Amino acid sequence: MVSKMAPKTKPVDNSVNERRLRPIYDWLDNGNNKKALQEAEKVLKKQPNLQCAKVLKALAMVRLGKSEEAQAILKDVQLEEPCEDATLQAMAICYRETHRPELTCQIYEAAVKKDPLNEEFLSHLFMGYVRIGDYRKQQQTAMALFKVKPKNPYYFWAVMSILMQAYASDDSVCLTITLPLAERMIKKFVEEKKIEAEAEVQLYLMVLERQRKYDEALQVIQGPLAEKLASGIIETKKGEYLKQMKRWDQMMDYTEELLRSNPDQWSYYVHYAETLFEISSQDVTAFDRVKTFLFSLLEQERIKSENKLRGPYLAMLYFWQQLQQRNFDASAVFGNFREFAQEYVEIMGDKPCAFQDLKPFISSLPADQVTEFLDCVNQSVGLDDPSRQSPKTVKQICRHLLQLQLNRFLGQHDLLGKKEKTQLSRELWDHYLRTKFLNVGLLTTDIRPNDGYALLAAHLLLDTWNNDPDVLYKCLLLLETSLANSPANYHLKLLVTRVYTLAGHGRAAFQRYETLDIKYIQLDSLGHLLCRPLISMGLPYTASPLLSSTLRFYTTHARETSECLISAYKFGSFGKIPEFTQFCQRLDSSAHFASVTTERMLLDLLLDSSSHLKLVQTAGGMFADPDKDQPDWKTCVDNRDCGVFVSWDPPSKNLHDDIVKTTFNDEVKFARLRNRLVHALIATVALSPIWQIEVQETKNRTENLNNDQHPKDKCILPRLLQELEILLTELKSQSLMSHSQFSVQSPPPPRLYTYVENGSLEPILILMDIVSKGQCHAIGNDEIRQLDNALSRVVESAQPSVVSEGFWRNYVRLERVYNAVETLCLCVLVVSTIHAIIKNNNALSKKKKKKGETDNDDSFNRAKQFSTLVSCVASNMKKMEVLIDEFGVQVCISQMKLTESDIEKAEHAITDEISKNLSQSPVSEVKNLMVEKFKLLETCNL
Amino acid sequence: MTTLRPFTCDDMFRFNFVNLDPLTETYGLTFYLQYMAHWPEYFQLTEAPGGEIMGYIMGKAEGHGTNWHGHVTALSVAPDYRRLGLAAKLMSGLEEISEKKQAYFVDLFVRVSNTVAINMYKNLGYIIYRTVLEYYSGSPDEDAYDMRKSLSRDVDKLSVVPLTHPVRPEDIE
Repeated sequence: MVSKMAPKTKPVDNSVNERRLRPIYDWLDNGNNKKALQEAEKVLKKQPNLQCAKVLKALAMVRLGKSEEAQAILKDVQLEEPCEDATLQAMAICYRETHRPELTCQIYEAAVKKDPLNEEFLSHLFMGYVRIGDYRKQQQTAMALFKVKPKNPYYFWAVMSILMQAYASDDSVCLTITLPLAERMIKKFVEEKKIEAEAEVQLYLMVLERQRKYDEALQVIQGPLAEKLASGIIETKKGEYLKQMKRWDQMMDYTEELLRSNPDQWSYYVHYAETLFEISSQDVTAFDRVKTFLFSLLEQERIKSENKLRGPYLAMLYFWQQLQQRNFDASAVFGNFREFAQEYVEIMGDKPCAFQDLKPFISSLPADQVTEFLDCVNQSVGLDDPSRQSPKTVKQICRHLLQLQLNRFLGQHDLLGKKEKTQLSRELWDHYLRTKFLNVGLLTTDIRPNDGYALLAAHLLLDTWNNDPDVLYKCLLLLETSLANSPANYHLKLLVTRVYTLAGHGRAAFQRYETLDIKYIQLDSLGHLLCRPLISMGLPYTASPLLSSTLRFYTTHARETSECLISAYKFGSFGKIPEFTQFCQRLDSSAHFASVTTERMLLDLLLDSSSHLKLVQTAGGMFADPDKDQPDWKTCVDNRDCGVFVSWDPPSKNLHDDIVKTTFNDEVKFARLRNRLVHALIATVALSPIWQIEVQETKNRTENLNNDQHPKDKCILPRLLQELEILLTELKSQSLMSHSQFSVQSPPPPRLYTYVENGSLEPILILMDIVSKGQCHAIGNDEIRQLDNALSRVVESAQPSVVSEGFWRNYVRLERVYNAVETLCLCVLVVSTIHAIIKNNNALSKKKKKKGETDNDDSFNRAKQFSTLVSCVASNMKKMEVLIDEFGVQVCISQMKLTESDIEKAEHAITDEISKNLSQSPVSEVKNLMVEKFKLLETCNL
Repeated sequence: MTTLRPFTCDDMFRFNFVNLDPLTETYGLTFYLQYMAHWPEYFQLTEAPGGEIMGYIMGKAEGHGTNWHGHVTALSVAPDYRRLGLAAKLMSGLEEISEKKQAYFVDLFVRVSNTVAINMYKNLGYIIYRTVLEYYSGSPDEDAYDMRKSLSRDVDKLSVVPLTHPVRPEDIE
């Protein structure tokens, strides 16, 4: 709301101005920027020097997309050094909306200079520095504020600003000067008894913690200042300080005290275990003490008749595991692990969380006790003949599912052959159908308790898949049927999305993915599931809007976060300030952000280039800066939530940390390679004569971009090509992961592998090199031969190979096809640039010719060589088209025989849906793209 | 077995087991950050031994005079961790903070169709204070119950005398 910035009280002589400005504010608030602009112009006719009207006009212009004109107005007003609140606030909004927060600081600096005692201006200036993260100036401004108005918050803003300087640089100056200063400032207030709020005490603790003065911090939370603190904080802090100071004896007493009052708080057990192992190295009797204590907690639960806590039961498993991991004889100290596990299953087995609870510990079960344990678990279900009987209550379903999940986790499914697995999956499906009666009366938003059968049955089928289309179809049938019954179950949605992906049916995968309603922060944490993979599966048109919405999230977060940072200062939530700052950095450095940005640009070039002119406009409109438009690749972070898939696979098959790490590193490498590629392409297009006509003009109008490194600069392209060569050489020398290492639930295989292996980049490099060396008019036979070889290799690699590539086989095949198509299409873009350059040269030399000289032979040769180049690309495109047509038929699982019994059991609506999904051609978008670019290639004749 | 602790920014990268459930809305960043900036103690989560986020509660303290109260903005538990009493635990944490802040009562809004939740709140001592007409937009719009529980400062329990007439959303203070 703009009106909030209108001054609340105004001197009387301003009332005329206010009356005149009011309608402009109203139009802006209502989002009618056109009217606001007209109104502002009207006011300015009467009063041409009214600063605020000028700024409001600029604001309306910003919102109408006329940023350049708006900035000219703002610049003029800024020179007048305005000193009036409403004008300044309106300017600040303009700067915020045009992402120029540093200018807000400049205008308030000028205003403060004129009116140094103005609290309002100083406060705005402080917030301005917060937005740009200038901690030192924040500190100075906060102190100036405190001098004007001695309020506690201002004083502590200054302290917080000092602390932020210490967080930002970890050097010795912090410890010797910065932090002691902050401490002295607070101590002064403590001594003068001026401490007012909880936030101030918290800040005191933060300053002490940063200096590792834990003893003093402990005294604070045990002294009179503790009154100001909420109880929860004191508990956690005390434990933290004792631990940091290694006062283990005290820590032991303290954690026991905490556990007695709250025996379900997991973090206390973790601290308790840590303390135990520290003490036991000196004093072995500690084991007895801990054992007695933990058993006393357990006993309390055992005698309860209901509402038993999980904590004391799981604690036994946890401590046992901790002992074992440290090579103690856990059984001798604590007793039998199996019995603790069985007791847990007995007590908590009827809760849906039972498996997740046991998962971290159960792999500690000694191998020779697995059978006995599972027998006991089987008995706890209470089904005499599970092949014919099914559970009768929801609780019994939970017990039954736990039994099945534990069997899988403990490796029992690995012992089964394909036939037995299929049989078991069929049994599970029967259980699913027989327990459906328990779902009656549930809301559509409730997850069905028997969904677990369907998920597990699907996992068993996937085990046996081995690229047998029938198996995949059965699997989809199970999942789609259970999803229709339980539309809120996201585990089903995620798995069905994945199965369609593995099947190579990206569009169906996308439809299911959309039902997950992934947005905002989830675009970052879950986007990896399908965002880039859609491109790999040859769906650039489908991927395009998804990339755009993801990008919008990334580009707006910084502004949002900085406003929240200001709130944190206002409300004194000092602990949140470094947290917000780090969070903002984590989003900025997201590897997914880097990938999406680059892929979005590449897609724009590919999809928005129906003619050479259009290509130039698209490339020029990106205002690319090859140096600034790339993150610091070394500091990219992995924000993927890779744990979102549930799995009951044994630990040996489970998602490994290595695969998470490797895929992340390789996604970053790929993003980097592609980033350099897109900038090289833009730099190539920038050498087109059309660029000079089309782009130069707009560039002149936007001086503020201050692009020193204009992509047209002739030395940029050679440099980028060199960077690409180096990156590529590095990548080729590395051993890359094999696709067969990727499981159903792993992150999608990085595109890097096929991209490097297929030599996707080489043909484009050859063509860009011609442009870079200025040899468009003298294309040699060698270059054409090289290009033909490189292109043939890329096309060849898209052929279906005999090598089996595990679960991701169909996906990888599509990726190879897309790699080839994309390379061919990007080549066309470069060819169109070469064409434009030659044409221009020809025109120039014709002019020369009039002067007398004739070079008919030259231009004839030029044309001949160029047309050979064009036919080289064209013939490879034709080859590729044939390949795609064949591929469309044979790729995935569109041709499938269904067994009669499958059809009988399923509902027609669901079989129809699946058949419809699977009959969509997986290659229609790449075909489209090829046709488009072929048309562009055809325009390239001399 | 639960770890109860304050919600932090980094938790947003991992709260998917809770937020993929269609009844739990995923909001823009500002929404979560403003709550963390303004009422950090009112935003708590529970974590499982394996590190999964099981559920969280968001709330705030607001109102003037005898209307000074704690409000539950969102309470959500991942489907696999239901029936463990986590919601009750999170609610009692929020009530405790509100007690400390000397609030008169705690209130919350719930869809009239959400009988499971309504019964749970009743078991925790909440009463239906009033009906808010068409509070939830959708097709069709749905009414909300404004449920309340008085805290110790409200000695005479004046905050929990139910209104006899429903109110419109614009009339809620």
